[in-house]
Amino acid sequence: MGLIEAIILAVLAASTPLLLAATGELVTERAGVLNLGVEGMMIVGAACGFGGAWLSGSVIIGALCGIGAGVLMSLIFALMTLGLAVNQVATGLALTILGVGLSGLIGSRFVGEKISLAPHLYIPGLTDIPLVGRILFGEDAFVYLSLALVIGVWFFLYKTRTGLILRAAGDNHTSARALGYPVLRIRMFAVMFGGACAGLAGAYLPLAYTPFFIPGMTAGRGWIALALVVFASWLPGRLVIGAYLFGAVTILQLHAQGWGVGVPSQLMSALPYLATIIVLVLISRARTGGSTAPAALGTVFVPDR
Amino acid sequence: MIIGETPLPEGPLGVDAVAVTMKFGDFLALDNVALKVRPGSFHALLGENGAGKSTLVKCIMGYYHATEGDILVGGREQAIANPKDAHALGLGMVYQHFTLVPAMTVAENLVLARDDVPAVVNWAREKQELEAFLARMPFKVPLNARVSDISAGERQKCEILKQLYLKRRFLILDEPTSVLTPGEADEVLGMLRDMVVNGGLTILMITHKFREVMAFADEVTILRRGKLAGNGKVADLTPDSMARMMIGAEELTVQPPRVGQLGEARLELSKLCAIDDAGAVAVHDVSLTVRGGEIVGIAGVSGNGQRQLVEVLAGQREAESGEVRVRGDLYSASREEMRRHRMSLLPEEPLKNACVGGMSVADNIAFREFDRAPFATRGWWLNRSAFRKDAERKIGLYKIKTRSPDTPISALSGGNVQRAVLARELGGEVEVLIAANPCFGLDFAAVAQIHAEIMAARNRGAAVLLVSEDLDELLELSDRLVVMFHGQFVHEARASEADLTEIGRHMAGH
Repeated sequence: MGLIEAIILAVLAASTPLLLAATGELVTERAGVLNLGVEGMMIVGAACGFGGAWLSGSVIIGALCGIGAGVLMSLIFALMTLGLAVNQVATGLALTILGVGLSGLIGSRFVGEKISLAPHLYIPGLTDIPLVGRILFGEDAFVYLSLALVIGVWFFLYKTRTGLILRAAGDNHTSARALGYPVLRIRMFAVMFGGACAGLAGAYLPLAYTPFFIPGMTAGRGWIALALVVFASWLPGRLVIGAYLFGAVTILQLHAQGWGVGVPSQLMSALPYLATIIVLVLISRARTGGSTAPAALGTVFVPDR
Repeated sequence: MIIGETPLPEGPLGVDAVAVTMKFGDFLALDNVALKVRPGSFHALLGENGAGKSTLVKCIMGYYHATEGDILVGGREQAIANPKDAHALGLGMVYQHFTLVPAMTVAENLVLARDDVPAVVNWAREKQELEAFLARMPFKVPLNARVSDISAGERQKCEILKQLYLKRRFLILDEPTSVLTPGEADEVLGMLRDMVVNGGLTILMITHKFREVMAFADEVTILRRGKLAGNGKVADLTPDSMARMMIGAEELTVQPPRVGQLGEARLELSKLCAIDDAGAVAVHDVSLTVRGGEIVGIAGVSGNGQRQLVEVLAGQREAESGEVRVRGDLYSASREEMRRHRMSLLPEEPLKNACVGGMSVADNIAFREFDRAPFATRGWWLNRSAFRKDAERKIGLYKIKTRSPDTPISALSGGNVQRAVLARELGGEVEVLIAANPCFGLDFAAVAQIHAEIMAARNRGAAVLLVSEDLDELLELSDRLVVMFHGQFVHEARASEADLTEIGRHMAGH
């Protein structure tokens, strides 16, 4: 296996959790809800995903546990922000803090345990094609699932009636309400979808990336996913580009450290986060006229009757 | 619909409100009001703010349930439990504020409004059907344009088209022209008028513009303080007789005549530029001189940079470039400069821009001078009794209706908040006055008082810059009129020689 091939495989693996989490958050934000708790939902998803897989011996059950944990976390958020109309930013931050603590509690008994990683696809002939075979036909199921999810979300947002209503709720909730659509219910499902995706993204880490659980193993990926949604201007297509770009930065800095580039390793490790900040600054500079963010993003909706 | 019941008649619908009374707790919003809109007519509902117009139409649309009285649709009594019931009967409403989703295209908005769209939308077919529908309509709108990119006039047309697309036969329009230029308003209302004349549609329009009532409506119903004040055929009425019914016996402040000499330049703007919150250029290279003893009016459709211009002058926004001079001195909107130059400010939405809502009326009135004698000793020891005494005097002088000087100002009605700001800003000597939509949403009595105060300040030699979206107000008060469009001054005229269509054209950017 050549070095380039190895790097591309690593980039795809590193990008997948970002893509999964960001896709969920994109749907949530398109409905007008800003859930800053992605990191918290991811880390709980990682702990529960590992726990499920370790206890059952099945990666699929692990993934389902991760999804379930993410949904439960997102329901706390939905109850607070939609049911009780609490500030979304504060609730999202609290959710992350809760998630970090909770994952430590859940994961403490699994620390030091090891599972076997999710199997990779193998199609005789196709996977054996030199250079591209492993990349196209030799990934784990999550990589394909994440791409399918993005396509599904694109189709949902632009080609279905429910998607149209969801975008309306995110852009102008009073109009959506005046047309007779249940804004809060739409938002709740969007938040739950975001939670499921974040939970799965978190579970991906111990199930397919590193075969063990350590506290704090999401290492800020939830925050990068949040930035990715902004980077993608809330468009699913651009999300793929953004996620792979960030995955590449993460992997390349690792290799650069290995090659002994004369930069402190701590600074190199900070590169993905630095890139996040730079991208956000560039986007806000470039977007002088009319923002593309959902207009009702982060605003509390209280139906008058 | 109940089986066996005969369906509603075809064609335009008539709606009657019979002896409708609406109570909110102890407050009587509607008192035994009757409204009869004949099928196939253009009916105007006139009244001041708070007269109960919105409450009445909300009862018809099922948002409220009348405490007493009935709503008849097509001559038959209907229990309208919610807006959905009203829609099913063919009643539709166009709201004062747009209900379109700005980030979506016109086509998406129209399809969104329908409730029989299949789960997976076939956009090619929907667009074909929309094109066919538009071909039958008098208005044209660009289907693929995003709503945020089209003008206010086109948005209003979209709102109306949406109702027609949903096959509504009785349309309620709530102040439909408040965001339009006079030209756009005439075009939209003219087209609606044609549709009414050609059959198939009944219109009930809420308004306070007599011009529109006279030009487009067949009949009119006038409300005053929740009661029916009059009704009849427009042809039998004059604007004066309608105004008398709207106002009742209330005495209005008489505006002083325009007197005095033009003085020296007081307020000079040169090449002023400012950006809005989104970072787009809102005020572009604006230059203007206002001299003592004149009122310069700035006309324009809302959102053409007037707000940002006033915010720069008020010190709420920093100018990007250019300068402002007051009485020859460079001006940066500090409190000290405002006091030295005797500058006063009546911003729009006074509760938000000129008051601290949670603080008392007395405190709010004292904001200009609170750290000076007699309100404070050595600039820090506040003398509360002086606050109170001054406030009591001004509350009487400016007819501010408040329970006491200690009531939080946010508890006052809009007119009384503006009167309190007026008392603070015009209570002393004034050399420069900047006013932005000072009468927005106020009743006749408050408007007359504010107009009289502004004219009096001008007559005493103040330089007045009046920014307003109400052309009638500008034509009445201004000496000179400037039209603002896309952040620039595009037209100037003497108010006495101003041509309404010419000004309207410039407001629309032609």
